[in-house]
Amino acid sequence: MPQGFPRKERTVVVIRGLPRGLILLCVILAGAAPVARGAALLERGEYLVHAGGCTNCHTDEQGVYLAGGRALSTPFGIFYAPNITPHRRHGIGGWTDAEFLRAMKAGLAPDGDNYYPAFPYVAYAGMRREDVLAVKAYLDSIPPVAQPNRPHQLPWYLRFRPGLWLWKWRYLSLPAPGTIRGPDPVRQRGAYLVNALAHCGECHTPRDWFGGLIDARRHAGTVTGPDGDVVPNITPDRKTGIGKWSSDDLVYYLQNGLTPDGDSAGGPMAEVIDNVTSRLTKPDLQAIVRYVLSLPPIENSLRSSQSKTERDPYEY
Amino acid sequence: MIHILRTTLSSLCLLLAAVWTTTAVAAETEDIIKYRQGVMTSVGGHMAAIAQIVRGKVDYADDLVYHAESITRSMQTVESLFPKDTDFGETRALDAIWSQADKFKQVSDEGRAATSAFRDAVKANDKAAFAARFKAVVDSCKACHKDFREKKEQ
Repeated sequence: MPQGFPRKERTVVVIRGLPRGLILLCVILAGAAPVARGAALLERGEYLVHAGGCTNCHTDEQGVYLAGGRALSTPFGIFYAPNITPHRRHGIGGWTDAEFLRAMKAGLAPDGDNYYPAFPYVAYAGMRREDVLAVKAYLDSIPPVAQPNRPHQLPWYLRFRPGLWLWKWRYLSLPAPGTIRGPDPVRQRGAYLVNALAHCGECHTPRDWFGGLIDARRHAGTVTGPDGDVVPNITPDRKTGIGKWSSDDLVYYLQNGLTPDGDSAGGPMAEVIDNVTSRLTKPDLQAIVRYVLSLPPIENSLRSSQSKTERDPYEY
Repeated sequence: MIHILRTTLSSLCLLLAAVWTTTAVAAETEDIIKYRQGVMTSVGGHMAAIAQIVRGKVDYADDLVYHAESITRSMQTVESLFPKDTDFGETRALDAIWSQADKFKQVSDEGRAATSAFRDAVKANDKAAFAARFKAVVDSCKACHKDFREKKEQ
């Protein structure tokens, strides 16, 4: 053995070196999450921008990336998503971390005005501070676009923004969404993704008279979704929800948009699959599915009463 | 007298003709819609079967060529399933199919290209390409259903 240690000593070195290496690895891993910097931070921010569904509304169909303009028709009026590129005049350029955090988690503009809850800050309120800041770091890094915002089209009685204080007092409440109890970290991750980031419930939950989500019917679907669409029940009810889907089928659907019966997603969910869920990692999709399938099943058929109940499952 | 007879008879005939043609046309539209739904349902059935094979859930690899050929054949003439004004009645076809004919043609072309490419990969037994090309097929279904099909009633 011309080089290196004698056999015995080498073994000792390996064993001694192992815990040290493990400790170092743990320190690196533990440190990476909260204080990601530079490229890692931007990458994480970009992932969160997709997971949070930001691109889905803030990029118009043929429009420039995140420069706003997309219309969201609701029973309360038409909202136009604003420009969130770092343009100083038309976008969010020059905002401080504190201003961005306040916008995302409290629904307040830098000038103190209330945002309408078409911007899902009720969900984002549950986002971790470091995740919000990663989103900001990424948004600051994309090219600024000089595209002015379109004013919302609302009836006169909703144009009074201070009235939203009352709305927020009622609906923007603790505990923050996305945090659940229980020993299962995968399910917790799923809850965070579903409730704080991807805000699935914003479309899949019926709303009350004032536009707040009806908590007891969370994820049970609605016939008065955005753009007047029927939004399916995604609780694991076997008859009217997704209780018959396997976890694997759901992950596949969120990745590709193909249902187990060979149909493809259409309408707004096709956009959500393109812009949000197909960009998530498989472990994150599995976490989402684990959480959604653990929800209390709610029976809620969304067929309108006058529609033919004997309908064929495929209609084209 | 003759004049009255002539106007009454001719009106009656014209009315009958009008009723006959409209019902005939309506029936034809409904038949086209039924045929279209049959074709689409069959494509969906093949898609479900292909997905099971491509995802490695079942071992019916020998059937893959048949399924791939079928969807490719159906996509060849997919626009012909949507003659103008067949968006009335029991259908989820949206008027955008005709009002945005260029875009509809484009997504149809994409569907044709994607299914042919998938079939070619299947025929060449190019297993490495299966997943990506099948995803392209699903993407083309999704692209069309996004803009041209009414959102489903559950």
